[in-house]
Amino acid sequence: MSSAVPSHEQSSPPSDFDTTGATQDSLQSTKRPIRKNDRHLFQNPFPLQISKEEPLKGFFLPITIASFLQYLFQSFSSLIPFRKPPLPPYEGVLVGESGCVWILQDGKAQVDRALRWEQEFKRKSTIALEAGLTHALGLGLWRGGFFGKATLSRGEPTWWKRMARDGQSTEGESLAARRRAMRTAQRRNVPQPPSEPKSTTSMSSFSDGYDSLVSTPYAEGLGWGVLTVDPERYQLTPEEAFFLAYGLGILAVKESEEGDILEPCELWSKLRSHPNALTFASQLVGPEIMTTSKLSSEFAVRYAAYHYYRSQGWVVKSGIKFGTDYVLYRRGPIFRHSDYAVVVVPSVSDTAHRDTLPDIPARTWVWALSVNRVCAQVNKRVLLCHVVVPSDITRKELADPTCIKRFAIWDVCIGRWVPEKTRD
Amino acid sequence: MVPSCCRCRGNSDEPMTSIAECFRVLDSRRPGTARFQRTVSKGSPTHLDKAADMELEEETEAEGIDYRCLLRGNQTALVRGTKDFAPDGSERQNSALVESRNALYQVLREERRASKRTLSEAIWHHHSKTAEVTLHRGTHFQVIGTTVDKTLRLLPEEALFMLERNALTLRYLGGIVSVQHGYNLLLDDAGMSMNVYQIYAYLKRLGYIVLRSRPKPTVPQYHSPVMAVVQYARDFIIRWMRWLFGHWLSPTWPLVKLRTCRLAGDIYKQLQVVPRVSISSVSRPVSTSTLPFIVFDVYKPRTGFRKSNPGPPNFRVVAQRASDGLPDYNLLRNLFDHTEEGVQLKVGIVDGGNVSFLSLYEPKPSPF
Repeated sequence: MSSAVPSHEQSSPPSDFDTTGATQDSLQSTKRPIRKNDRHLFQNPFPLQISKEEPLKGFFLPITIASFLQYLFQSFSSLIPFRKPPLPPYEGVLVGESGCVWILQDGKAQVDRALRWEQEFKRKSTIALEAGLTHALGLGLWRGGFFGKATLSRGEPTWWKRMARDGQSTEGESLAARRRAMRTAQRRNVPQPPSEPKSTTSMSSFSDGYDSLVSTPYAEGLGWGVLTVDPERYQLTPEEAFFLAYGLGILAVKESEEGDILEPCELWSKLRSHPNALTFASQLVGPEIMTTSKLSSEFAVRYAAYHYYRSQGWVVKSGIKFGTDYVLYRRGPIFRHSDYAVVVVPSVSDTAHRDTLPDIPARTWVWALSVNRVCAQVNKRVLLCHVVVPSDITRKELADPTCIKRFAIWDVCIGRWVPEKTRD
Repeated sequence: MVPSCCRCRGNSDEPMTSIAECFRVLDSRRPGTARFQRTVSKGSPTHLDKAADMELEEETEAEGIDYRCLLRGNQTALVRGTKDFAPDGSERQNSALVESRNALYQVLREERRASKRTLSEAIWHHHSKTAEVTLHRGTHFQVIGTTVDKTLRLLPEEALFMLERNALTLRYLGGIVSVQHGYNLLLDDAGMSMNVYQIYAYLKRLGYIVLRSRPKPTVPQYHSPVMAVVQYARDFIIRWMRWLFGHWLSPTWPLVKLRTCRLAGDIYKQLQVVPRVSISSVSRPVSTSTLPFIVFDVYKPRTGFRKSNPGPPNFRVVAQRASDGLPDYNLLRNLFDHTEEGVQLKVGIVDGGNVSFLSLYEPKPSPF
């Protein structure tokens, strides 16, 4: 698999059998207008500021020796008992039973922590440390790889701004809402509503952003009354949180705001023991052979697929809107619609033992036809991502996040075939 | 089952439950009182009021169905826009309807004829589930039939297809097999079932050449024992070292040692710990004859086709029912590994009378 530095030009689509009928032309339009001067904000594939220098061509040997020595030194320096590694710049807390993580925003302490971490690792994270924006710390995660989303917006936390401006805001969500209202009005041949907003909210000031008080029907309905503080939080899905904590090491997850930071193994077991998931332990007792039925809601399997696609350079977001597990974006949700919709299929590699209980097929061809139709309507190709788990994997191995190294991925694309069209 | 495009109202304005009932009502009613309404679909004739059509359609999409229209007591019929051929009670319309209905009955009643030049003859052997061709006429045999012991043999689907096309007189136990009898006799759920036959017939009617997939000679994978031992030893040593020193040296997390990365490419390299499956990891190839379903080799129609040496097919079509589960990973890998380059793998899915097809392919997508 290529691990080249990501380029920012539009890459050509993968050459494969074009049987879905979706042409490249239909994928041209971007989802929402990106202001030209904002593009530079989204150039990092991860919440880190990465240099774009080309690898040095000459002096190959000295450089490898230097980096090897550096690696050794750092490995041994972590052995020094009193020297604790600095805390990661982002901190989050597990929310409820869903396994989702909310980013904690404690202002100054967070800024200090981030600075300390950056000094230690000699690498800048994308925490938005600009003055006045320290309460929107999730922004750094959105801008560096589109991890997570704000709870009351489609991506960046914009709820406060939108409510404060009540219909005049230029955020993506407000533009979309106004566009939808215009279209419905046009369809019904009704004279369009005047461009001044029908203000039903009480506004104390129209000042930009965060000093105004906000009271909206939405907030009143929730019993919030007049708000002085932005109630919006920044939320990560379990896979995203684990990837940032374990893969990149820039997120620390706590179980509660006052609690201790969870080690990756602890976080892993918490995410695997989601109440809705049928964990290995609760399955029928039988010979300790892995079968696909035991893996049906195993977090390790879903996470392995997420990790694989992220490591290949895709931006992976939730695919619930299309009936799949994930969708893959080449650069991010704000640039282009996603190209692939991924369905994770846990599989067990070839084994001499056969499952004593026949697997009830969870997914039939009817399902395959319908998910393909839904995704074809939105110009996406369906990828069946088989996460191949070795049949001899043990419960103990699954309790350790490094078990994903034993998995393998094989994906197949489903498309529609119309034999009438391919006859010649 | 009434098709979803039809909303016939019966005598008491209740929706019809079967086509037969529809026709019965049409026949029995006085002309002009049958309210045979069609819902407007996107492909409707263009002379309908397009704007109204679009508006109603989108409104429905946006708001959902108004279920009051479907209540039993509700007398108002579900009218959606103006119709092409709304019943207007005229005599001209009625007589046209009657004429076309009569023509339909007439055509169904006609006796089928075949010319001697195209009619072949065969005998059905039930124990071997094949037909032995005794008289050979017409062009079907260019693409149908196999020669076994100097006799031309037909598989059940081939014989039934020719029977349907009026190109074969099939004899069994002294009598001639009718089409209806043929369906009962030749198809059985164990081998060539009704479902699989429908896929076969669908593709044949389009003009494709459809043959049963022959078991391909499997290329034996040469596993060098020496390499296997070396690989195992290497893994063992690495694991052992990691166990001994793992707790002392760098921790296993985070995966990416950010201090050692200079470029994004370095980060990606360190993240790529989940491998992609390689072909050699499939240990036991399964031949097509032991697959739990039938696979067809499908060729696009071409003039120089030779049964004896057809070459690689254009498509390989796996026959499945709509209620079947997706094949598991091992089976799917087997199918792929035994499909040569240039051959596309397709799945034919039968649901009652309908056949849909899906194609399966390996895209190897990459965002760069």
